[in-house]
Amino acid sequence: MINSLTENGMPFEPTYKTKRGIILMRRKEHLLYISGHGPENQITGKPIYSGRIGKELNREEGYLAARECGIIILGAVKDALGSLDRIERIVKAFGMVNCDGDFQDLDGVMDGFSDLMTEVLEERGYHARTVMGTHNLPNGNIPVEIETIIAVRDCIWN
Amino acid sequence: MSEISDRMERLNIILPVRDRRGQGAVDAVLVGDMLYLSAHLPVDAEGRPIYTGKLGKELDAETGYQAARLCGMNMLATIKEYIGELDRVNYFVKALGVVNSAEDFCSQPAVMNGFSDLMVEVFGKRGQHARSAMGAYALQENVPVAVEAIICVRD
Repeated sequence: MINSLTENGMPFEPTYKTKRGIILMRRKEHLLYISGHGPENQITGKPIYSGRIGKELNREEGYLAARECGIIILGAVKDALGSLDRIERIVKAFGMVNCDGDFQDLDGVMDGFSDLMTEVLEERGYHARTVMGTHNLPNGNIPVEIETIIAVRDCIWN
Repeated sequence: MSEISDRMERLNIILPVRDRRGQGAVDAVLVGDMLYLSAHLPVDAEGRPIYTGKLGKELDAETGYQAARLCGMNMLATIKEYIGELDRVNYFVKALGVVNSAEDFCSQPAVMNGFSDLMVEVFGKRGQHARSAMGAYALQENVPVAVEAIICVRD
């Protein structure tokens, strides 16, 4: 099932190792704490989407940006674990959505991440979730940033 | 590909794929003895917001306090559903409160006390928790406050 995603041409790029002083993820026993990830090219750091939702971007673009965050996170996890089959489940996600004006459909944006997780991991993709609207995010005002906690199994940690 | 999926492919058995769009977020996830709770909102049993508006604009801190308390009540209902009995709550670990704030409002902790006071009323010392409260620019359906938590359960 997981492989069907790559067959569909979704690019998981196991490319990046470090990002300045920030550690991308930390494992404690079977829990993986993953830093906030935005929709950024993981090699150049250039944002794939930028701007606030409700101003420069609409809800649909926000949804795709959140989906992009999910793809980047899965790529990083695949890089660390060797295989996405080692994901026991997605435990928790915290999403920050860069909003402007009276935009309030935060769930509609964050569903981009959540839908991807259930598409890839099915039941194991279900997670606790918090979404908040903010007015400023880093790197040229990226529209979404998502941090996660993931439970893993059968791990050879490299 | 695994042995089973190879065999299923040979036998031409294709499993149906369910549409889970919009269902990825659940109220709580239990991992070991830790229960991770999603953000709970001040809504009624049907999910309709009881309080709406920004703190410092439409609402004052006292109303925000009541809204945060309602978030806590909804969370207690979720906990009870997940673990059966609230006696199984060992202790609260951590809570994060997000307060929908107008520009100059900075009494987020006073709002979040509505949640924390409830937990201490219900669980005593076990209800105490590490806490952060922060102001948000927007929240779903313009609710004034949302609270997530991590708790430790027993038995």
